[in-house]
Amino acid sequence: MERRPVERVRGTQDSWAPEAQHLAIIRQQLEETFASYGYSRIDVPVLEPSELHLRKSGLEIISKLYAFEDQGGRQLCLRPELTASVVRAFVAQPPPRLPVRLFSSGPVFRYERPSKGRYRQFTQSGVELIGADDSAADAEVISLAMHALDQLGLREYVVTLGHVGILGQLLTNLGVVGRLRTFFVENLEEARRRGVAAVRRRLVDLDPELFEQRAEAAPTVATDDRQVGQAVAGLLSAMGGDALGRRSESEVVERILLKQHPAVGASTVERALNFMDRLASIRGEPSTALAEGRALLVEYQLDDTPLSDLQRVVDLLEGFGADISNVKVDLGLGRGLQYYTGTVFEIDHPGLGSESQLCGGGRYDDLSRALGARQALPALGFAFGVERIRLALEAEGAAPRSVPAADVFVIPASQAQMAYAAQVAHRLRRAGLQTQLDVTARPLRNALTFADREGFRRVVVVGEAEARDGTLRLRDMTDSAESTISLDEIASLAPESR
Amino acid sequence: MTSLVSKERGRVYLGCRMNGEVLRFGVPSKGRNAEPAHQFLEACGLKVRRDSERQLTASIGGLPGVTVVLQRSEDILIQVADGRIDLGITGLDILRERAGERDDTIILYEDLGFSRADLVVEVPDSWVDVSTLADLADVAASMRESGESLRVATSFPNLTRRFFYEKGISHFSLVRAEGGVEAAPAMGFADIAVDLTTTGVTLRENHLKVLRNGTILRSQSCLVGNRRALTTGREKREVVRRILELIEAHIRARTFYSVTANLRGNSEAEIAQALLTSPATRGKRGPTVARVYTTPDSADGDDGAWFAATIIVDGAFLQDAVDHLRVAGGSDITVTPVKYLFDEGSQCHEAMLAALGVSHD
Repeated sequence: MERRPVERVRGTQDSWAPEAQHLAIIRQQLEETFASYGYSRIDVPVLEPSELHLRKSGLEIISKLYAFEDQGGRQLCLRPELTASVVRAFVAQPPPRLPVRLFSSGPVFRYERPSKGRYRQFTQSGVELIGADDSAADAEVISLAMHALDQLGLREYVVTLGHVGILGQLLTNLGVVGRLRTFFVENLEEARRRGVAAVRRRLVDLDPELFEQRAEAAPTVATDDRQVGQAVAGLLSAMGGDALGRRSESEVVERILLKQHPAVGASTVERALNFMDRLASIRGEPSTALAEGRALLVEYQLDDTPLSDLQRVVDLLEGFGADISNVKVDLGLGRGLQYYTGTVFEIDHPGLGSESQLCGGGRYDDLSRALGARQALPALGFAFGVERIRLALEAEGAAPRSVPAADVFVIPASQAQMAYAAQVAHRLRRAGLQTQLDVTARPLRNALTFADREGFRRVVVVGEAEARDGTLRLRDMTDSAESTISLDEIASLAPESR
Repeated sequence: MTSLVSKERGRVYLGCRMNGEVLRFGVPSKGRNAEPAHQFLEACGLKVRRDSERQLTASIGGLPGVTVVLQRSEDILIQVADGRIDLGITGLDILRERAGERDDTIILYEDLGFSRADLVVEVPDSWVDVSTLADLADVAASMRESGESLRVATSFPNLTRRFFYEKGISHFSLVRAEGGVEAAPAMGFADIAVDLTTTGVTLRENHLKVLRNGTILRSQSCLVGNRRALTTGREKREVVRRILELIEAHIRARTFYSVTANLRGNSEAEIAQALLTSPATRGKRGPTVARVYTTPDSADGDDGAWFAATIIVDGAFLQDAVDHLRVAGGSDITVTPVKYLFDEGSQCHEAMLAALGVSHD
């Protein structure tokens, strides 16, 4: 027989009162703020097909997916975030009128290296606003996030705004498409955090031929494509008819030719990397950062729509009453997620050390199409990390008081009064007092010691006399004062403020 | 003795748990790791003695209290993680695949230097357009566009999945195979394979090639231990220290040679001084010089007396050392491999204590 205790799964937590209580309150207050803006609740499953996240979530999420095969051979995962699930639900059953405002909360799972403030199971709570493309929608969502934190009494948070559309525009101009485009978009965040040299290393790691082959490409004597095609075809037929498996000969020939004349040369890649480097270094007060950004866009002859959008979001935020002194612009902010298309933002708390992010969000206008909708729909949203908010509140000194599990502790003096004691407890509960009944049948003295150590302020003792007279003895544990009251007087006992 | 639990387990799994047993040491008995593991242990002075081929346990001469448990590498890993075995030799590939980051297993020696193999991504030779992971990502994407998915045969699903995701290949399906993985593409079960390769012969026979940047893991045999058992068992730790010392000294010695030369000189100090001036003849720490007593016909002449100088040199500098000794007038140069090279302490033992968070016993 195995007698070792069963251990908690690595990276998960057992949360006890008062922290558990605090977490529940934070979550409830967030949801109340969301609801106050007219967002309605949607509950989505914890289990999702892995495909949901493989399609558009990007490396940051996919590499941390809790994925497995179920008994029916389906590829499933524990959701790593809420947005994709909400959009999946939306695509499956689009509401008749837009925009639609939704909020959701619950546990999410990521296979991370656990550390302080970083767990494999944590709680997200967030909103999605689907079907509105104006900057006013961006401003509403961001100010809602800020307002929700204000409601919780959090003061020292910092909002960082960015826009992934700037890099997207450059890539479009350079003709960078497909996998390489995805790579750049996903790695903007890496450029911001570790510098563009790190991005370059990743790129070479993935495609060691990228720079060598493209450097050679220019001086190569232009071989007739048809000759190349014939040579490859000849080679393949010499290898045997089905050597290619499920791939076709024309596909292989096409790719060979494409590799000979790459649409995107090494110089283009260098240009994109340089731009990324410049972009990722622009951060600061909104007005200065936006001005720097405009200068960069002029230099690269790019349209400044993303920056004027961002400017409008900043202006509107101020109009919406948000405290703009908490807001910074960082054009390197990429969030590492593949589905963002426009404004992105994060909220951090300086009191949390390296895992300082409380909230992340942004605009994801292409996600619904990637998940099967007939057309792309403008949408944006964010999610809070509920545990992180609790840590931030704690860092600001707003830790919850340790309170007893109930207001009153009811003790029957002997077993004979158990039924009467239960009746008394029931009346106390109806009067709004959280009441615990001592069901242990221990001596009165021990029960009183227990109540004292547990920190109960008020204790009710019922003995033979009380049961007979329909009364109860109420003892104030702070000064040991006792009074006897009747059952009817219970209603006048005010619940303690907790 | 260990807890009641493992006593009972011992009985169930092995039918015996002799009194006086301190440590259970898992050594591969089957598969490609078995033969090299036994040879390695023997070379370390830890020869496994088995009474008969059919016995599942054995002993190590000079290390009483150690029960050698003969198992497959895969089972050794599982049993170390569960605490049924305290210490074991297994493959880094299996460890990374199965145990990942399990807290209950601790790596005591990551590279024992044998059973080397690379876990690599292999694609058909005929895919002449595919030589890098970037190419493979394109193929996976185009298969997905036509409603198919790239099928990858492997017996390392966890390592494969993680590697592909990290490299931006997110659409593929894994075809689990325990043997004949490299035959799967040719047989049509899969499009590509991820498998261990040592010489590359099997993959060439199956008309496969390795992607340029397709090495997922460089694997070899490693020594692992159960964290709980080693943390709580002081006696176990002492036996592990002795085993680690021998292994470490043997591995360290492998690249070293002991070189002895006879030289003429006036004193030990003069010879030593001459040899210390060149890095090639300085050896690991410096020469040992001793007087050689000669017969009258080769008696000491004007050039001084004969001395023997011994240095320990790294194999990479052996020829240099010999050349320099000759220049210094050395003759009768003998070179012998070093069997063990003990330093002041065992680095691995120190590392183990640090990882377990226990102080010196």
